[in-house]
Amino acid sequence: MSSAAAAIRSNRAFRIFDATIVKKAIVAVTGLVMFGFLVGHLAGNLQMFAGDEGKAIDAYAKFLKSVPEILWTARVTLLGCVFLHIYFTIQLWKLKGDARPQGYVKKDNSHSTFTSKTMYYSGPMLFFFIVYHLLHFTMGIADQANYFEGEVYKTVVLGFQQPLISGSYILAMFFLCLHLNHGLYSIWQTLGLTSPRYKPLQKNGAAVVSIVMFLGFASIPAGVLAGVIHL
Amino acid sequence: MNLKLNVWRQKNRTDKGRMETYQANNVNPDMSFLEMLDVVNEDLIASGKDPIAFEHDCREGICGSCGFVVNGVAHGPEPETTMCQLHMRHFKDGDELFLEPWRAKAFPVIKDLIVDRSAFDRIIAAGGYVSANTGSAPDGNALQIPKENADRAMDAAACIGCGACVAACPNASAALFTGAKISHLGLLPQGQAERSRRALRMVAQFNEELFGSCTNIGECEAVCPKGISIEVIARMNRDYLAAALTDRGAKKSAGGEA
Ligand code: HEM
Ligand code: FES
Repeated sequence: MSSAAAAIRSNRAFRIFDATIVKKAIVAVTGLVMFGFLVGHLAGNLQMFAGDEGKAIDAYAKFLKSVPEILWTARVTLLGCVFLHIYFTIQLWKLKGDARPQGYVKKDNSHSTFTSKTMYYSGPMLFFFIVYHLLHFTMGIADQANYFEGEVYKTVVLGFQQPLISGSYILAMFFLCLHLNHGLYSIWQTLGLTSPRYKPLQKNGAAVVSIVMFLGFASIPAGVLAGVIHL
Repeated sequence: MNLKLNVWRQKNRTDKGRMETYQANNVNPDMSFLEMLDVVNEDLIASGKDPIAFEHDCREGICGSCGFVVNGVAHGPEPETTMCQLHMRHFKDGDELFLEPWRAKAFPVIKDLIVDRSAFDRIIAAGGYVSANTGSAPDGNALQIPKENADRAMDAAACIGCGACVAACPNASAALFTGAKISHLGLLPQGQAERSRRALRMVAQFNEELFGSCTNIGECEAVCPKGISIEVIARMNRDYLAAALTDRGAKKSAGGEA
């Protein structure tokens, strides 16, 4: 064994910041934080169905923005999570190419799930969605004509009455469903918090939760298109 | 039965290599896959050609030497079966087979279907051992080991280091192998003394060999000839994460190594 190798092994910086297991664990933890946000975000958004012409959701939005310190802490934390999540997945993705420079003429990957094999596709789709979503509803840049500061309900309804926009949101939520289907199971394996006893629960739980997230989020653009949610 | 074989031929480490096609005729269904290749090679030698190089030793499924990819599956179509134990009755007359070596940067091809798996040896050397006193054998039950732990350690110890997990992994990760070695020792009382440093060192070596990063896909456990489950990967992750945060480092521990 080379002395350089020995030096790396006893180096604290390596074992905490450079080991693939730690990078992957950061992907898992940031993924979990983002998922936690999504649960809260969905619960808040479902107030679109309150049938009160937006009184509840507009008041809720106002409440969220009432303490700028909390709002900005949450925003910075989430953007930090998005950044770290992507930063480390890009590193691990590069390693994938480096680790097998020459591929197979024939390769059978039929034992793994579709969603697990497409994480490097569903993830980037989510990134594009997040950018668009922020430009759209947070900053009001993407669809300026229909953006009304402080009037969440109106802005969302007018936005989603355009089939192209609601269609892309529903499609994006489908990618979210794919990503979480593997991600929510993978987290426990990555962090070592699993056993044969809990694995079926973690796997099935991830499948159920990812579908619930899809149905929950997609119901809003679908509800506007169907006229259930209207001005 | 008659088979068409497309085989990866590569003269040496630097040769570019290519697929070549051979005909295997009158194959006896009771032959093992390696015996079938032996017969093909007899013909190649008789006609003055270079025989197909493949690694083998025990031919009993216990040494881990044999192994290549058949139609995209490491060790071929039968679960929990090494190439040397795979019999030709699992194939049909007229089948076309693609034989390729394990593909990973850390496993360079030496010749044809043979790869250099010394990266695994270096991972073992980095920490896959326990320090034990020599001398007379200890009393049978002096050291208590829960039955469940003994069983799980035994399951992990079944790893023969063949490399199929790396070959099958879309990330070319050696997580199943390293996890099996870490679990096998870490589940037993004799393995506790070095447990934390073992995880740190074996994983550091694993990274240094440029194996990929596991994405919990599970192709590895599907091809493992010993049926080792990815549970060992979760255990490796747990041991490593705990060790990375709690190990005090070499300098401060009494009698620690440099
Ligand atoms: C709404 C935002 C997102 C959420 C909730 C989320 C959630 C997750 C979760 C829970 C995991 C599993 C972590 C693990 O087991 O290690 C994961 C993995 C991953 N995510 Fe995301 N993610 C999000 C956005 C993204 C984005 C924008 C990308 C784009 C690059 C991405 C790419 C990946 C990749 C490549 C993995 C690795 C998959 C694996 O190795 O199993 N994710 N994500
Ligand atoms: S030759 Fe020993 S395992 Fe196949």
